Amino acid sequence: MAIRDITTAEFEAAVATGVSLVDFWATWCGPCKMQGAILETKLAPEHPELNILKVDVDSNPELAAQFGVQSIPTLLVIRDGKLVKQFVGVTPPDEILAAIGTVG
Amino acid sequence: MEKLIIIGSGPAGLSAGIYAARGGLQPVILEGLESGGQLMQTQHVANYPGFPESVSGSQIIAAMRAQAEKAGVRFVMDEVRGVDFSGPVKKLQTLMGDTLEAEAVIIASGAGVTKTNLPGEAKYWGRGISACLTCDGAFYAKRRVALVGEGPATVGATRYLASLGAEVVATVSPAEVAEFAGDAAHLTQIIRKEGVPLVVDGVFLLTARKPQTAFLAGAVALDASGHVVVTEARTSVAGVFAAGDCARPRHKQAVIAAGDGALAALEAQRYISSNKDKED
Repeated sequence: MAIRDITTAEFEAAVATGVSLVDFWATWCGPCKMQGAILETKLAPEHPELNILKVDVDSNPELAAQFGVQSIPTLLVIRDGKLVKQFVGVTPPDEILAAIGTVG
Repeated sequence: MEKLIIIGSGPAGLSAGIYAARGGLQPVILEGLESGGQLMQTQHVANYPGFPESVSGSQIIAAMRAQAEKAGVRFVMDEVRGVDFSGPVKKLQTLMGDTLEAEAVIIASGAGVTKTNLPGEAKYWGRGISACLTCDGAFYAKRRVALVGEGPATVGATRYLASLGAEVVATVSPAEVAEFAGDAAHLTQIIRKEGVPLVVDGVFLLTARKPQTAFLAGAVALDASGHVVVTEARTSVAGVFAAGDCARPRHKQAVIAAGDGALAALEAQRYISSNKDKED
């Protein structure tokens, strides 16, 4: 599944089923670029079953506030609409996969 | 396998890259999480030779990077997590999950803010406590923040946060802090050893900078303060060199780091060509 950008309004429906990764980022955040690259080059190609979603915190401050995001990158692991893990800071692929493994 | 991988993209890493590329080593620079390094946080640099009018750290870095790119340096957005320097081929494990190999390595990983390890810090890390102004400053527009740290960095940080609309209510030394406290989700106050608690929405750590050498895990000799021990940029391992703040216990200056980077590149070039002579 391709990585897609979502808005606050689309969020609930977007994470309703399956395992979703939600990446909170912003254009001005350097480390967010590395998190984006990890999702794009390491996870998306090998794990098409994952629903990878990106949230620009500048355009979607309500969604960032809803999850208490005060530091980016922040990455949510959501299964069937339920939050199971929240990572703060750049998270390597093996840690993300381990978190998914425990919920998958 | 690469001829030369340079760890870090501050003045030391970029200068090493320029020299190494011009010397034909086709170097790769691993940028690290904080691309450009500490100088990116400095708003006015008045002592870098060649800039009679004060310039910003990010302008100097942008110029160095443009020069490095022009010379042919390849930049890779990744950070080293572990190293294996035991054999002739140096191996680097990265955050992206890759293992990179090189004939020679220059460590130019710089210095960074250290955590205070005070009660509450781990709990509220990313939930009100941050060490990255450029990442997280914007979350605090029209909100109250405090700086925990000392020295000139706090002045620049106050100005930067004010420019984003944040209200910097206090600057406190880590020694004055007893605990970071809050509710289940967020930091709400700094409990001080003396005086009333400071009610804040966020805290930025600007504590003393320490060399970022933990990832080396004993692969090269470090001194008691964690700096890489060097002689003319050479570390305790043949083919591994170090430059800049990660190898400078005393004088952490951009121009010194840039000089160190050039020296490390020249030493790396000497090492690689002597290896080649042996093969021939």
